[in-house]
Order: sequence, then structure tokens, then C-alpha cells
Amino acid sequence: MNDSNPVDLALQTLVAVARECAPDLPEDLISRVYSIERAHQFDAANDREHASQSLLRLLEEFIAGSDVPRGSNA
Amino acid sequence: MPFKGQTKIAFPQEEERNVMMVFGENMRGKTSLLNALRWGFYGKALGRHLREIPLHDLHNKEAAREGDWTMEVRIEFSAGGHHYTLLRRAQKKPLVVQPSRPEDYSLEVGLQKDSVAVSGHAIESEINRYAPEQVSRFFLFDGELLQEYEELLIEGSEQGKGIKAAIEQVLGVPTLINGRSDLGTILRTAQRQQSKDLAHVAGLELQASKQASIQSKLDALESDVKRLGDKLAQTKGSRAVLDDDLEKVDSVHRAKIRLDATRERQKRIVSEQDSIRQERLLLLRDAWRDVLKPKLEARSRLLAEKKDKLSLRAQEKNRLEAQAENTKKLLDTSKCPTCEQTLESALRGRMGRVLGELEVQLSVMAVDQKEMSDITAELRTVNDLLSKSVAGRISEIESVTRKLEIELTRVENEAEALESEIRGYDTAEIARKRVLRDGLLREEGQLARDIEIVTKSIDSEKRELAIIARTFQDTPSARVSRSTAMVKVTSSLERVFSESIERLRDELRKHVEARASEAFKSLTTQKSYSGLEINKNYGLKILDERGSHVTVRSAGAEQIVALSLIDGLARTGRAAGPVVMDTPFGRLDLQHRDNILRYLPTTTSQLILLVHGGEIRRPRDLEPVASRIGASYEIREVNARHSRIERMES
Repeated sequence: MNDSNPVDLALQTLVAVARECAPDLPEDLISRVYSIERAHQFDAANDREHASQSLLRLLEEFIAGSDVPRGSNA
Repeated sequence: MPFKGQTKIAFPQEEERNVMMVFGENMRGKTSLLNALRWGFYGKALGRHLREIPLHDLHNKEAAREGDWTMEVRIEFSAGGHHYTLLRRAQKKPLVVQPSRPEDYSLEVGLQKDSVAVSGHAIESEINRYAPEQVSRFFLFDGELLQEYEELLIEGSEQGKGIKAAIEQVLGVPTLINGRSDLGTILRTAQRQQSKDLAHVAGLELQASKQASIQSKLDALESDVKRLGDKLAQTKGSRAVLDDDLEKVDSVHRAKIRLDATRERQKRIVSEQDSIRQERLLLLRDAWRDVLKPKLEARSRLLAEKKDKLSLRAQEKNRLEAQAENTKKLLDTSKCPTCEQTLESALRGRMGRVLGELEVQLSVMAVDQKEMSDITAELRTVNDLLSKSVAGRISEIESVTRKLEIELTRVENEAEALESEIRGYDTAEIARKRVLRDGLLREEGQLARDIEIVTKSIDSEKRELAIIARTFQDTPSARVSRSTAMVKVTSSLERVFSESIERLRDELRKHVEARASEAFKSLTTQKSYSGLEINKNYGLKILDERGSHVTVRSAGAEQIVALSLIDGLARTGRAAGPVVMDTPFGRLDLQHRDNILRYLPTTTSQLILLVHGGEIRRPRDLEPVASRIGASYEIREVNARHSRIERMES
């Protein structure tokens, strides 16, 4: 069966666009968000819960790893 | 399905001998074999127009008669370094005697990954990792549907839009579209949290409140779009069902239209016959004229002569009267009216004699005016009677009557044939469905316009939110909140995904165009073609040696272009995998078929060709691919309801 996309044009495009319009975004973060979406591309439109949860976890981990203190609000 | 009992097929495993041939004449079960694979993977089998075949219609009739009500497909495959066993089984429910609907079966599906069972909810996504249903048309494909790809060249084609969506699935565009949508959902939640967090921060209350208000508005608008989208999908679904129903009875509908027109013609012929019959009766009333015609003609001639004579006499009399009048004036004045000279007496005497002679002539020249007017009136009446030739018109009428009779018989026969064609069909119901379908089409248009309007409003609100987000990011007291950090990173990611979609499409089109052109040049026998050009819908046009579009394409060329597109898509969007092709050579000549047989095994990991004798004549036509054939099977007929698949020795 098919294992992987031979040339990942989608990821290449995301990285190229990010360099232009969001240079602060780490390439690794974009790549990880893309991996989650790629794994869930064929989930039904009304079943995006797994993808959203995985994304949210990833973003929370990313923010926790940055300078903003956990649980902080203004 | 024509298969019963257990049938086992082993796909070729050697890289250099990766082609499997399955031979079977029409109606033996080639498409059923393709459907068995499709049902095994996705639990559905497709019939004509890609409509799902109900489960109870898949069951082998002979097996059912023998009391065997279980269908099962087991597929073993390897992917991603794992070994999988997929099992799908349908079994008649215990209390059902004779299944007549899908609900009469209980269904079971199981997947083992390296001998460990995959839990039920994860089976579909595990299959989708390697053989997603949405793109299955590109690896489980029906050669008869190749012509569909021509729709991609037609701007605005509904079918073309569906194929374009499938193409984008295989190319991975939905990954970015879903990413934008999922990130948008997270962003919204983060913005809501941000509004709450900043509502009590001095100086930011107003902006936080405005942000919350826009979010509420956005929620309402997105709910509207979802509702409209659901309604649109539902309308399209209902319309597709009606389209299918109407397509099945399209010949009946056309026959009904022709019948109505024929009946109308029948009425007009009968009416023409009536009016022509009336005219004939009126003509017969005056038929006596034709009997008297010779006499009337003689009388007419006589009257005309008399009239001529009378006219001549009247003219002569007028001339003499004028001459006498002049002479008399001359004698009275004794002067020449021209030179005013006095007449000599000798001349006067001669003039007097002339006058006397004129008066004598006039006294005998009587013109009877009454006779003249009587002759004129009689001549008019006679000529009038002669002018209306009854016999000629009656002959014309009889010719027309014969033609109408012949036409009426033909029209009546046609009407009878059409009536028998539509007998048993409810034509009123067909007419009702057509009106309903047209109504749904209009509704679809309106819903699409409504969605566009609401989407524009959503974009506008999002821009407002982005402005507020930037304000917060620039404010030190807001910047330290986690929700602001989440908003910042999520909105950046959403923007990146959003702006990448069109750019990816452009890149993909370039790749597909290049790879489809490569495939096309390998497959086509016309060496003057320089390649293919892709349009926005992934439709492909052939380019000649000067780079101009080839506007007229044969059915075979269309098929080669479609195969090139599929190959270009497969090589752009996915790694080489197994491809099963049902009847792929339908419209191709021998040279094109040989080219395909040589080319496709090099771009697929396993190539399974389901062919009939009209496409491939064994063994001669297999020469180009002979060294690559790893397995061959033949579907043989046992009887009309049962076929058996047998392995052929190489």
C-alpha cells in the first residue's frame, strides 16, 4: 500500500509561506502541526475532534516551553 | 455478485513481476471483483453512476437459494512496515427469513495489525492512512469512468467540481484546508479566553468587550454558514437522487414529449381534413359552372366582340361630332381660327358641303349606350363565372386529402408506438420530479450565493479580530497572558495555512502538469504532441509541436490524457502503490494499449488489470508485458448466477 508522499510539497509550501508572513514561527512547530493534519486528512468533516485535541496539546506544550508563565493571566 | 463459496487470489509479490492479469468476458464478474475489494476496504460496492449497490443486492443468488447468507471479504496487505489482515463480513440477521434491505444483515469488521486487533473506532483511520476511500478512484478504478475527466475542461461543471475535489484529496490540499479550519477553531476559543482574561485589565476593558462581541457575531455567522452548507449538501443530495431517477426514465420523458407533439400534429391534421372537406362541399355546390364552361366561353367571346364594335362606333361618332362642330364654327365666323383671314366664298361653299356630309353620316350613326352597358355587365358576370375553376381546386383538394390521410396513418402509428413505450410509467410523476429537480437546482444556486455573502461577513469580522489581537500584542499588560500567547501563535499558524492553500495548488498544478506530460509522451503514439497543459481545475489540454492547443481529440486520445492525469496525480500525491484497473483499454488502439502495458507497471507497485477478450487477445497482445506478469487468473462462468476465478499456469 502507499506509505508516504514522495515529495512533500505541502510542507515545503507552508515553510516557504511562513518565512514570508510569520518569520517568528519555528519551522519545527509548523512541521508538527502539518504532521497532525496530514494524519487526520481523511477524518470525516464532523469528526475533527482528534485532530483539534492533538493540535491544542501541541500548541499548549509550545507555549509552555516559551517565556509565558503557566497559568498566568494579566 | 456472481461469486459463491471461497475464492482466493494471491497478488504478485515480486517487484519485477508485479502485474496480475484477470481475464473475464462481460457479465462474468470483473467489476464484482473490483467491488469485492472496495467492499472489503470501505463497506460499499458501487454500480453505475457510482451509486452504492444495496447490501442485499450483493448477495450471490445461488448461495442464498442454498441457504448460505454470509458474505465475507478478507484482505491481507502490508504497508508502513506492518502486516494487516482486514475482514469484513455481512450475515443475515437470525429473525430475517429473506433479506430485502441492508438492515436485514448484521455487519462485522475487524483489522489486525501485526496480529494485534485494532480497536473498532480506529479501523477506518488505519485504513485511511494507506488507502483512503476519498482517493480510491485513483487506485481502484473503473476504465469506463475515464471519460469523466473531460469534465475538468468544462468551466462550472458540477461533475468536474466533484472530480477536482477528489484530485485535491489525493494531492493533500485538504490537509491545509482542514489545518486552517482546525486552527481557526482553536484561535476562536483562545480569543474568547483572552477576552475574559483582559476584561478586567485597566485600559483594555473596551477592546476586550469589543472582541467578545465580535466573537459572538462570528459564532452566529459560522453557525449560519454551517446551516446553509448542510442545507446545500442536503439539497444537492436530493437533487442527485432525482437526477438519477430522471436519467433512468429519460427515454420515457423524451417519448412523452414526442407523444404530445405527435398527438398535437394528429389534431391539426384532423382539423385540416375538416376544413378541406367543408371547402370541397362548397366547391361542389358550384360545380355546374364547369359543365357550362364551353358555352360561357363562347358567350364571353361574342359579348367581347360586340363590346369592341360598339366601342369603335362610339369613338368614330365622337370624332365626326368634333369635326362637324369645328366646321360649323368656321362657317359661323367666316374666319380661319389660326391665321384670322376671312374665308373666301368658294371655300365657304366647300365647307358647307363637308358639314352637310358629316351631318348625314352622324344621322345614321346611332350608338346605343344602354346596349353598351348591358353588354359590359353581362360580360363581367360571364367572366366572373369562368374565373372560378372548380375542377382544378377540387383536384388540388383531393391530392391534399390523400397526403393528409397518409400522414395521419403515420402519425397514429407513431403515437401508438410511443404510447406502448411509455406504458407502465407514471409520466405525471416524471413531470413532477422534473419540476422538483429544477426547483432544487434554483435553491442550490440561492444557497451558494447566501453562503458567499455570509462568508464575506465572516472574513470581515475576522479582520476586525486580527486588528484587536495586534493591539493586545502591543500592550505589555496583555502580552504576558497565556491566552494572548495562544492567540498570537494560533493566528500566525492559521494565516500561514490559509495563505499556503492557493500557493500549494499552483505548485501542485505545475508538478501534475509536468508528470502527466511525461506519462503522456510515453503513452501517446502521436510523436508531434509536445505535452499537456493544465488548467485551474486540473483539466489537461494536448499541446502540439508548436505549443498550441489541439482542439479536436479522439475518444482514444481522451483516454490517454485521462490515464496520464491519473498517473501524474499518483506520482505527485502518493507513493507508488497497488492499482486495480477494470476494463482500462476500452477505446484504445493496439499501439496505445501496448504503450500502457509497458508504462504502467513501472509506476505502480502492483498492477492488476481486469480485462476482456476484446481488449487483450492472448497470448499475442501480452507480449509487451509478458516478462512482468506475476500471476494470471480467469473468471469462468459456471452458470448465469455463478462464476469461478481460476489461477492460470504461466
